[in-house]
Amino acid sequence: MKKYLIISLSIFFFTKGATAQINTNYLFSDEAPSMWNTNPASLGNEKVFVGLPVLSGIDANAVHNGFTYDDAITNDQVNIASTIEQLRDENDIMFNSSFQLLNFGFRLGQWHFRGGAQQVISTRITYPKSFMELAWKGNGHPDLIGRRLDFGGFAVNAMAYTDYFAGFSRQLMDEQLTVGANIHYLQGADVVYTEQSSFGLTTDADTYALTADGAFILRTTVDEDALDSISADHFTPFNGANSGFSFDLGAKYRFLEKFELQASAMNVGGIRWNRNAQSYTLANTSFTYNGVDLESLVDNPDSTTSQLEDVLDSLATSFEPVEGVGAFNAPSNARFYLGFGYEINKNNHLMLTAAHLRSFNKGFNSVAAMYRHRFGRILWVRTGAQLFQLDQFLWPVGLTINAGAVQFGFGTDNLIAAFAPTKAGVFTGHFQIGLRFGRDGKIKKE
Amino acid sequence: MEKKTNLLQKTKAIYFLILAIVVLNSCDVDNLKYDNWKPVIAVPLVYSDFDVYDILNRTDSLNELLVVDEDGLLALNYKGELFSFTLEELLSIPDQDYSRTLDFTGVMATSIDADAGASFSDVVDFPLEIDPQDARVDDVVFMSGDVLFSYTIIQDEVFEGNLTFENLVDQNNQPLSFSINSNGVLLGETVTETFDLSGARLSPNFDGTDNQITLEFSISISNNSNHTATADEAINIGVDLSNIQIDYITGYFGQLSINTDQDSVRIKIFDNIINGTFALEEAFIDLTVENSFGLPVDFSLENVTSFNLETGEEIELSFPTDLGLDGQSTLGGSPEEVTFSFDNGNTNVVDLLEPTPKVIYFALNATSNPNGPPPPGEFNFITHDSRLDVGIDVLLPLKGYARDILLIDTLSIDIDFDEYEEVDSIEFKIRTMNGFPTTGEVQIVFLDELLSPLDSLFETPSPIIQSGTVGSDGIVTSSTETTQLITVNKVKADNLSNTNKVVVMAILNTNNSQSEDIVRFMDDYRLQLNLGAKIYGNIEVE
Repeated sequence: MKKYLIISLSIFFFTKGATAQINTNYLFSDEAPSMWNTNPASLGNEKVFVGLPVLSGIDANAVHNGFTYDDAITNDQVNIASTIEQLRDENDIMFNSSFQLLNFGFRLGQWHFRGGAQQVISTRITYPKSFMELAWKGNGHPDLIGRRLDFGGFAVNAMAYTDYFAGFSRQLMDEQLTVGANIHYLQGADVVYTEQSSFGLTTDADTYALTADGAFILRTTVDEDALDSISADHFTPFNGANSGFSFDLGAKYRFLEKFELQASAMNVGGIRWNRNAQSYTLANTSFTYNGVDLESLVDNPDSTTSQLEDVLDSLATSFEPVEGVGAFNAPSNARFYLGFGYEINKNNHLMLTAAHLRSFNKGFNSVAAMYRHRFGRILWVRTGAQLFQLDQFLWPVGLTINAGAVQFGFGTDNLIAAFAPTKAGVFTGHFQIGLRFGRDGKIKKE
Repeated sequence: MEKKTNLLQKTKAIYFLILAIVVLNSCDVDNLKYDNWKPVIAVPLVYSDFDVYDILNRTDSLNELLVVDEDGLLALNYKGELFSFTLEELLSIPDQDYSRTLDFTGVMATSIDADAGASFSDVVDFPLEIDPQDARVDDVVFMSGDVLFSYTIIQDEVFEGNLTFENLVDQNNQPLSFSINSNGVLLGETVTETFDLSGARLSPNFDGTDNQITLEFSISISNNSNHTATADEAINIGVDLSNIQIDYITGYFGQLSINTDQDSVRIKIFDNIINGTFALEEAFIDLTVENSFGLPVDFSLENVTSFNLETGEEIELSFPTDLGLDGQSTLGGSPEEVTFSFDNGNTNVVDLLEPTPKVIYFALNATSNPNGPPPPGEFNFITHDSRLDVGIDVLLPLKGYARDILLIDTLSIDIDFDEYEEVDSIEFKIRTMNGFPTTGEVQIVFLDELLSPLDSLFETPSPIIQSGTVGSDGIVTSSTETTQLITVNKVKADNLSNTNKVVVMAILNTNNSQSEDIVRFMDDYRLQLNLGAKIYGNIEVE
């Protein structure tokens, strides 16, 4: 039993590093048609690209940015205190995946058109450091007593939807500038969305009086008993429920022959959830427990139990959320990229990128430096370094293989996880396969 | 659609697979070692925010009230009735009777048998019994009562006549009269007739000794040819006065002496106090008298003594004597209301409370008509609702000092600490924020069933409450916080495990009481008390 418990906890905690769809690998990697997932201004190097149905692309990652296995366990010694000490104020556990169901694109002169569909699942559970401190140290510990323990980051978010998209890009200014856009029709399946979460616990250093405060808004389409019974109807295309839209906008600008500037805003929009939409709202509330009232205790020595029951009733009443029914909006997880590329020569490229990634209204920043090398006409290899949340080192690696008309691509945002999982534990993986026809003339000559 | 649903499941499986591989390849969970979990849990146990009313009202009885003056200074105010007298306690007319048997003389008997007839005719006085007997009654009007007139025919002749009270008149001011008629009356049978005295007035003749009721009777006797009259008892007449309730009475009632048994006033505020000094800067005692007796009275409080039952210490109040009352001036007028005030200037009243007495004893002596009979044309009167009420109003401004006030209470309690291996110790924290000018030290001693001490809460009595900061005027200017920590570890818990009783002792002192500094208790003082506990856990994690 203990083993399973630890494994379960490990699944939640012992991964660390990246977040959803950083996709550092793709940016500036115009050898891969899927680049329009990070910048719709991408043209691709072929006239026609068709991803294999269902298998055309898989992108999955699991993230925990709180601590690593090695942080927590050294020589079989579980370092709970030091592990908690190094936690962020808010720590995120995220699982994200996208499965390309259909993916195709083609060029017409200076235009490129594309379309497809993908299944997207995003989750983020956030827990605050102060909550773990409270559990380990207790509210009476000198480090915690007398200050408000902020549990505001507590959040549970999950969203599943099908993304139908179409877009274009076009070269302008004698191919110096490329602009592009995608539009996504999002059909939501189910969602749990923590729109607001603010909780705190204060233990008065003088009197030990406990004050709990909080406010939250939780919106969902999932019934309490429906977590394991997501209906296939939820995925019926264009069923009219839980519809939303998002947009991608991007531009690439090449200058001085070897330099390129890129910017893109991806998946900016949201879904209006209207099927079985429910809300649980707790307005700003505060509750203080000072102990048993001495006067009542003197008057009625047996009143301790009843007083405690009264307190618990009051507490439950104070923190009882108001249930509501009605459609609500939840934002899509937008991404914003800014990149600068330098073409050393035709086979070697350098890229610097900065990204801001949204996950259920919470932002994550990242910067990366990537190097790409082409081996002949078949193989592209990419590697580099990434600082996720500007303080965690990741080692992104990827490659693309062009085998005739068939193109494979795979990679990870953190190779460290592959050979030293206890130190990093970011488990991201990308896989793509597709068919390319009518590859670009310049490519052929090279 | 089935494929899409499967994708969800595949996604979950991939997550699990990746993470499980990491975990299982990384650790041998059975050999993991953990530090002990030592959380510190702080919980508030008890709180209170007392104001002065909460504290004093909890110890006082209903007749002890807190009053506050315009400056906010508090005072204890004891109000109550010390003594009360009514008409019944001073003067009463008991049930009484008068009877007389009339005898035929030989001449009368001969005359009757000769059909010449005879008669009884007389005026007689009989004394009105009254308590006190030497009271002179000018008039008495009855609120209720009965006059029972009776006669019994002894010789079988024909009697006819009447009996009249010359100085007892009915509501119509007509003398009360009864008739006698033997017609149809059996020999030896007692004939009665009752009269309701409500509203009747008796104006007895005072002969210097007794208040005489005058009866006049006139009875004629004629012959019964079947009977021969003899010189012997002929008829018996009687008068009973009963159930007399006086409406009012006038006259001169003499120098009545009114002495009460010793009574007491309980001072509950000192109930649990064993010893100590309680000194007030000033105190006021008002005796409030409402007198609706129409007679002068001199009275005095005797044996006013405060008494500490625990120490035996007592203080006697030097009280002025012969407090004079003139009495209600006119019958039907307003009662006389007089207040006799005593303070530091005319008594040692402030000393009365010094020994922290639980009771103050009183007795009252009073004398009516101290100067003898009223002048001619004046008289005493008492009505059925006349009262002499003596009330007491003690005002104790809480301005003074209290020194070494010792309170002790013993509680029966069984302490049994359960074995909680996970709890290393418990640290109790008593925190007070005291806005009163009072310091309190507390000690709790734990006793076994043989009353042998097992342990104590503190090594020495420790201050739980520190006096607020007191200004030169004796008023607290800011509250003082006091914190005491009490740690109960396993050793202490073992010591206390056989506790059967606890003795709680507290010593209270006002600020600088040893120097007899005066402090004032104002109505905005507060005392906050919090009891909390820190539970130090020590849990082995396996």
